[in-house]
Amino acid sequence: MKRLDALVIAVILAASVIAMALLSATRDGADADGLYAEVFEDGVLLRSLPLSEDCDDLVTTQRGFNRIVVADGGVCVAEADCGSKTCVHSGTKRLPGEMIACLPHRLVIKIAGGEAPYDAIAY
Amino acid sequence: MRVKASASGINVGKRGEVALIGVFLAFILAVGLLERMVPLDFLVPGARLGLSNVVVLTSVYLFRFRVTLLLVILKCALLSMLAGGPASLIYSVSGSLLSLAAMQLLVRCLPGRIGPIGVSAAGAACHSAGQVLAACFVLENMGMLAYLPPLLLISLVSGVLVGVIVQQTVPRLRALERAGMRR
Repeated sequence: MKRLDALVIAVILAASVIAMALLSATRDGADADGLYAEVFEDGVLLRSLPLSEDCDDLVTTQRGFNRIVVADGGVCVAEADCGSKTCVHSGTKRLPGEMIACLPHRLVIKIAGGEAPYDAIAY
Repeated sequence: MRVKASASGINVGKRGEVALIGVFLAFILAVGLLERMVPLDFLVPGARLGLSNVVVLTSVYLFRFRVTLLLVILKCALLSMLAGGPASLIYSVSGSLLSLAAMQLLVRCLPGRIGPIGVSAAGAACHSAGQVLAACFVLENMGMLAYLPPLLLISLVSGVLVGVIVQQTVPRLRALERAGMRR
Protein backbone atom coordinates (compact mmCIF):
# COMPACT_ATOMS: atom_id res chain seq x y z
CA MET A 1 0.00 0.00 0.00
CA LYS A 2 1.41 3.38 -1.02
CA ARG A 3 1.06 6.77 0.58
CA LEU A 4 -1.50 7.94 -2.00
CA ASP A 5 -3.63 4.86 -1.27
CA ALA A 6 -3.80 5.84 2.37
CA LEU A 7 -4.59 9.42 1.39
CA VAL A 8 -7.51 8.34 -0.83
CA ILE A 9 -8.90 6.15 1.94
CA ALA A 10 -8.51 8.91 4.54
CA VAL A 11 -10.25 11.51 2.34
CA ILE A 12 -13.25 9.26 1.59
CA LEU A 13 -13.51 8.18 5.22
CA ALA A 14 -13.36 11.77 6.50
CA ALA A 15 -15.84 13.07 3.92
CA SER A 16 -18.45 10.41 4.65
CA VAL A 17 -18.10 10.53 8.44
CA ILE A 18 -18.28 14.34 8.55
CA ALA A 19 -21.27 14.41 6.19
CA MET A 20 -23.09 11.77 8.23
CA ALA A 21 -22.40 13.65 11.46
CA LEU A 22 -23.77 16.87 9.93
CA LEU A 23 -26.87 15.07 8.65
CA SER A 24 -27.64 13.43 11.97
CA ALA A 25 -26.99 16.70 13.83
CA THR A 26 -29.65 18.45 11.76
CA ARG A 27 -32.07 15.61 12.44
CA ASP A 28 -31.64 15.61 16.21
CA GLY A 29 -33.91 17.67 18.37
CA ALA A 30 -36.55 18.18 15.70
CA ASP A 31 -40.10 18.38 16.99
CA ALA A 32 -41.97 15.15 16.31
CA ASP A 33 -45.25 17.06 15.92
CA GLY A 34 -46.11 18.83 12.71
CA LEU A 35 -44.25 16.35 10.52
CA TYR A 36 -45.51 15.35 7.12
CA ALA A 37 -44.63 12.52 4.80
CA GLU A 38 -44.41 14.16 1.40
CA VAL A 39 -44.80 11.86 -1.56
CA PHE A 40 -43.09 12.97 -4.77
CA GLU A 41 -43.20 11.44 -8.21
CA ASP A 42 -40.60 12.84 -10.64
CA GLY A 43 -40.06 15.70 -8.22
CA VAL A 44 -43.76 16.65 -8.22
CA LEU A 45 -45.50 16.64 -4.84
CA LEU A 46 -48.39 14.15 -4.99
CA ARG A 47 -49.52 14.02 -1.35
CA SER A 48 -48.63 15.34 2.03
CA LEU A 49 -49.60 12.94 4.79
CA PRO A 50 -49.47 14.15 8.42
CA LEU A 51 -47.53 11.64 10.54
CA SER A 52 -49.85 12.28 13.48
CA GLU A 53 -52.78 10.63 11.68
CA ASP A 54 -52.64 6.96 10.79
CA CYS A 55 -53.53 6.23 7.21
CA ASP A 56 -53.19 3.61 4.51
CA ASP A 57 -52.80 5.20 1.12
CA LEU A 58 -52.46 3.49 -2.24
CA VAL A 59 -50.41 5.71 -4.56
CA THR A 60 -50.84 4.60 -8.15
CA THR A 61 -48.79 6.09 -10.95
CA GLN A 62 -48.34 5.02 -14.53
CA ARG A 63 -45.27 3.03 -13.45
CA GLY A 64 -47.04 1.03 -10.73
CA PHE A 65 -48.36 1.27 -7.20
CA ASN A 66 -46.90 1.82 -3.73
CA ARG A 67 -49.01 1.28 -0.62
CA ILE A 68 -47.92 3.91 1.85
CA VAL A 69 -48.87 3.35 5.47
CA VAL A 70 -48.61 5.94 8.24
CA ALA A 71 -48.78 4.47 11.74
CA ASP A 72 -47.37 5.40 15.17
CA GLY A 73 -45.81 8.61 13.85
CA GLY A 74 -43.82 6.82 11.13
CA VAL A 75 -44.24 6.11 7.46
CA CYS A 76 -43.38 3.02 5.47
CA VAL A 77 -44.10 1.41 2.12
CA ALA A 78 -46.08 -1.70 3.00
CA GLU A 79 -46.38 -3.02 -0.51
CA ALA A 80 -45.26 -2.15 -4.04
CA ASP A 81 -45.19 -3.80 -7.44
CA CYS A 82 -41.71 -2.60 -8.36
CA GLY A 83 -38.92 -5.04 -9.18
CA SER A 84 -36.42 -4.43 -6.43
CA LYS A 85 -38.74 -3.85 -3.41
CA THR A 86 -36.01 -1.64 -1.96
CA CYS A 87 -38.71 0.84 -0.87
CA VAL A 88 -40.52 -1.87 1.11
CA HIS A 89 -37.26 -3.05 2.68
CA SER A 90 -36.37 0.50 3.71
CA GLY A 91 -38.63 0.06 6.73
CA THR A 92 -40.31 2.79 8.77
CA LYS A 93 -39.05 6.36 8.75
CA ARG A 94 -40.01 8.93 11.37
CA LEU A 95 -37.33 11.66 11.49
CA PRO A 96 -37.43 14.85 9.42
CA GLY A 97 -35.24 14.58 6.35
CA GLU A 98 -35.41 10.81 6.27
CA MET A 99 -36.50 9.34 2.96
CA ILE A 100 -37.80 6.27 1.25
CA ALA A 101 -37.10 6.07 -2.46
CA CYS A 102 -38.60 3.77 -5.04
CA LEU A 103 -36.30 4.25 -8.00
CA PRO A 104 -38.25 2.09 -10.50
CA HIS A 105 -41.41 4.15 -9.86
CA ARG A 106 -39.46 7.43 -9.52
CA LEU A 107 -41.20 7.93 -6.21
CA VAL A 108 -39.67 9.61 -3.17
CA ILE A 109 -41.27 9.83 0.24
CA LYS A 110 -39.62 12.46 2.37
CA ILE A 111 -40.40 13.52 5.90
CA ALA A 112 -40.75 17.29 6.10
CA GLY A 113 -41.96 19.87 8.58
CA GLY A 114 -40.76 20.80 12.06
CA GLU A 115 -37.22 22.11 11.85
CA ALA A 116 -36.31 21.81 8.20
CA PRO A 117 -33.17 19.70 7.95
CA TYR A 118 -30.28 20.34 5.53
CA ASP A 119 -32.03 23.10 3.62
CA ALA A 120 -28.85 23.78 1.71
CA ILE A 121 -29.07 20.65 -0.39
CA ALA A 122 -32.86 20.15 -0.45
CA TYR A 123 -33.96 21.90 -3.67
CA MET B 1 4.26 -7.66 -5.52
CA ARG B 2 4.44 -4.84 -8.03
CA VAL B 3 1.28 -4.00 -9.91
CA LYS B 4 1.96 -2.08 -13.08
CA ALA B 5 -0.29 -0.99 -15.89
CA SER B 6 0.70 -2.04 -19.37
CA ALA B 7 0.74 0.76 -21.91
CA SER B 8 -0.33 -1.31 -24.89
CA GLY B 9 -2.41 -3.97 -23.19
CA ILE B 10 -1.48 -7.49 -22.17
CA ASN B 11 0.45 -9.18 -24.97
CA VAL B 12 -1.34 -12.47 -25.50
CA GLY B 13 -2.16 -12.00 -29.16
CA LYS B 14 -5.44 -10.96 -30.74
CA ARG B 15 -7.19 -14.26 -30.16
CA GLY B 16 -5.90 -14.51 -26.64
CA GLU B 17 -7.28 -11.06 -25.93
CA VAL B 18 -10.73 -11.92 -27.31
CA ALA B 19 -10.77 -15.06 -25.20
CA LEU B 20 -9.73 -13.15 -22.07
CA ILE B 21 -12.44 -10.51 -22.64
CA GLY B 22 -15.00 -13.30 -22.86
CA VAL B 23 -13.77 -14.83 -19.61
CA PHE B 24 -13.78 -11.41 -17.93
CA LEU B 25 -17.33 -10.66 -19.06
CA ALA B 26 -18.57 -14.05 -17.86
CA PHE B 27 -16.89 -13.38 -14.51
CA ILE B 28 -18.49 -9.94 -14.18
CA LEU B 29 -21.96 -11.33 -14.91
CA ALA B 30 -21.55 -14.22 -12.47
CA VAL B 31 -20.33 -11.96 -9.68
CA GLY B 32 -22.97 -9.33 -10.49
CA LEU B 33 -25.78 -11.89 -10.29
CA LEU B 34 -24.43 -13.51 -7.12
CA GLU B 35 -24.17 -10.08 -5.51
CA ARG B 36 -27.89 -9.49 -5.93
CA MET B 37 -28.44 -12.34 -3.47
CA VAL B 38 -26.52 -10.40 -0.81
CA PRO B 39 -28.68 -7.32 -0.28
CA LEU B 40 -27.23 -4.70 2.02
CA ASP B 41 -30.56 -2.85 2.15
CA PHE B 42 -30.45 -2.86 5.94
CA LEU B 43 -27.40 -0.58 5.77
CA VAL B 44 -28.46 1.76 2.96
CA PRO B 45 -31.33 1.07 0.57
CA GLY B 46 -30.02 -0.38 -2.67
CA ALA B 47 -26.44 -0.88 -1.44
CA ARG B 48 -24.41 -3.73 -2.93
CA LEU B 49 -20.91 -5.09 -2.50
CA GLY B 50 -19.52 -4.06 -5.89
CA LEU B 51 -17.19 -7.05 -6.16
CA SER B 52 -17.50 -7.10 -9.96
CA ASN B 53 -15.13 -4.14 -9.81
CA VAL B 54 -12.38 -6.73 -9.23
CA VAL B 55 -12.78 -7.69 -12.88
CA VAL B 56 -13.10 -4.11 -14.14
CA LEU B 57 -10.02 -2.89 -12.29
CA THR B 58 -7.98 -5.91 -13.36
CA SER B 59 -9.00 -5.06 -16.91
CA VAL B 60 -7.89 -1.44 -16.41
CA TYR B 61 -4.43 -2.74 -15.51
CA LEU B 62 -4.20 -5.35 -18.26
CA PHE B 63 -6.10 -4.06 -21.28
CA ARG B 64 -6.29 -0.93 -23.40
CA PHE B 65 -8.94 1.59 -22.41
CA ARG B 66 -11.41 0.73 -25.21
CA VAL B 67 -11.42 -2.92 -24.18
CA THR B 68 -12.29 -2.02 -20.61
CA LEU B 69 -14.90 0.49 -21.80
CA LEU B 70 -16.51 -2.21 -23.95
CA LEU B 71 -16.47 -4.58 -20.98
CA VAL B 72 -18.16 -2.03 -18.72
CA ILE B 73 -20.85 -1.12 -21.27
CA LEU B 74 -21.61 -4.81 -21.89
CA LYS B 75 -21.76 -5.39 -18.14
CA CYS B 76 -24.34 -2.63 -17.65
CA ALA B 77 -26.46 -3.72 -20.62
CA LEU B 78 -26.41 -7.44 -19.81
CA LEU B 79 -26.90 -7.09 -16.05
CA SER B 80 -29.88 -4.80 -16.49
CA MET B 81 -31.37 -7.31 -18.94
CA LEU B 82 -30.68 -10.29 -16.68
CA ALA B 83 -31.60 -8.81 -13.31
CA GLY B 84 -32.10 -5.13 -12.69
CA GLY B 85 -34.61 -4.17 -15.35
CA PRO B 86 -34.56 -1.07 -17.56
CA ALA B 87 -35.02 1.33 -14.65
CA SER B 88 -31.69 0.24 -13.16
CA LEU B 89 -29.76 0.87 -16.37
CA ILE B 90 -29.24 4.61 -15.92
CA TYR B 91 -27.91 4.13 -12.37
CA SER B 92 -25.50 1.38 -13.32
CA VAL B 93 -24.27 3.23 -16.44
CA SER B 94 -23.68 6.52 -14.62
CA GLY B 95 -21.97 4.83 -11.68
CA SER B 96 -19.86 2.48 -13.79
CA LEU B 97 -18.65 5.08 -16.29
CA LEU B 98 -17.71 7.64 -13.62
CA SER B 99 -15.92 4.90 -11.68
CA LEU B 100 -14.09 3.67 -14.78
CA ALA B 101 -13.01 7.20 -15.73
CA ALA B 102 -11.61 7.80 -12.25
CA MET B 103 -9.76 4.48 -12.10
CA GLN B 104 -8.36 4.79 -15.62
CA LEU B 105 -7.08 8.31 -14.93
CA LEU B 106 -5.47 7.32 -11.61
CA VAL B 107 -3.78 4.26 -13.08
CA ARG B 108 -2.45 6.06 -16.18
CA CYS B 109 -1.59 9.44 -14.67
CA LEU B 110 -0.01 8.34 -11.41
CA PRO B 111 1.70 5.09 -12.32
CA GLY B 112 3.81 3.71 -9.50
CA ARG B 113 2.53 6.29 -7.05
CA ILE B 114 -0.90 4.81 -6.34
CA GLY B 115 -1.63 1.13 -5.84
CA PRO B 116 -4.73 -0.94 -6.61
CA ILE B 117 -6.19 -0.30 -3.15
CA GLY B 118 -6.30 3.47 -3.60
CA VAL B 119 -7.51 3.20 -7.20
CA SER B 120 -10.24 0.77 -6.20
CA ALA B 121 -11.37 2.88 -3.24
CA ALA B 122 -11.58 5.98 -5.45
CA GLY B 123 -13.43 4.01 -8.14
CA ALA B 124 -15.94 2.64 -5.63
CA ALA B 125 -16.59 6.13 -4.23
CA CYS B 126 -17.14 7.49 -7.75
CA HIS B 127 -19.50 4.61 -8.49
CA SER B 128 -21.67 5.57 -5.49
CA ALA B 129 -21.48 9.25 -6.37
CA GLY B 130 -22.47 8.59 -9.99
CA GLN B 131 -25.48 6.54 -8.94
CA VAL B 132 -26.71 9.03 -6.37
CA LEU B 133 -26.27 11.94 -8.81
CA ALA B 134 -28.24 10.01 -11.45
CA ALA B 135 -30.99 9.44 -8.88
CA CYS B 136 -30.99 13.18 -8.10
CA PHE B 137 -31.58 13.94 -11.77
CA VAL B 138 -34.11 11.18 -12.46
CA LEU B 139 -36.18 11.89 -9.35
CA GLU B 140 -35.56 15.65 -9.60
CA ASN B 141 -34.87 15.60 -5.88
CA MET B 142 -31.50 16.80 -4.62
CA GLY B 143 -32.40 15.34 -1.21
CA MET B 144 -31.22 11.99 -2.57
CA LEU B 145 -27.71 13.26 -1.78
CA ALA B 146 -28.41 12.32 1.83
CA TYR B 147 -27.89 8.69 0.80
CA LEU B 148 -24.34 9.40 -0.37
CA PRO B 149 -22.35 9.57 2.92
CA PRO B 150 -23.37 6.13 4.24
CA LEU B 151 -22.96 4.68 0.73
CA LEU B 152 -19.44 6.12 0.59
CA LEU B 153 -18.57 4.44 3.86
CA ILE B 154 -19.76 1.04 2.64
CA SER B 155 -18.07 1.51 -0.72
CA LEU B 156 -14.81 2.30 1.08
CA VAL B 157 -14.86 -1.08 2.82
CA SER B 158 -15.69 -3.03 -0.34
CA GLY B 159 -13.34 -0.83 -2.40
CA VAL B 160 -10.36 -1.69 -0.19
CA LEU B 161 -11.31 -5.37 -0.31
CA VAL B 162 -11.46 -5.24 -4.11
CA GLY B 163 -8.07 -3.50 -4.19
CA VAL B 164 -6.49 -6.23 -2.06
CA ILE B 165 -7.86 -8.88 -4.43
CA VAL B 166 -6.68 -7.03 -7.56
CA GLN B 167 -3.20 -6.75 -6.06
CA GLN B 168 -3.15 -10.56 -6.21
CA THR B 169 -4.84 -11.12 -9.57
CA VAL B 170 -2.85 -8.76 -11.82
CA PRO B 171 0.63 -10.26 -11.27
CA ARG B 172 -0.81 -13.76 -11.72
CA LEU B 173 -2.44 -12.82 -15.04
CA ARG B 174 0.84 -11.18 -16.13
CA ALA B 175 2.40 -14.62 -15.68
CA LEU B 176 0.04 -15.80 -18.44
CA GLU B 177 1.66 -13.29 -20.76
CA ARG B 178 5.15 -14.53 -19.92
CA ALA B 179 4.06 -18.16 -20.39
CA GLY B 180 2.62 -17.26 -23.80
CA MET B 181 5.91 -15.65 -24.89
CA ARG B 182 7.93 -18.76 -24.06
CA ARG B 183 5.82 -20.81 -26.45
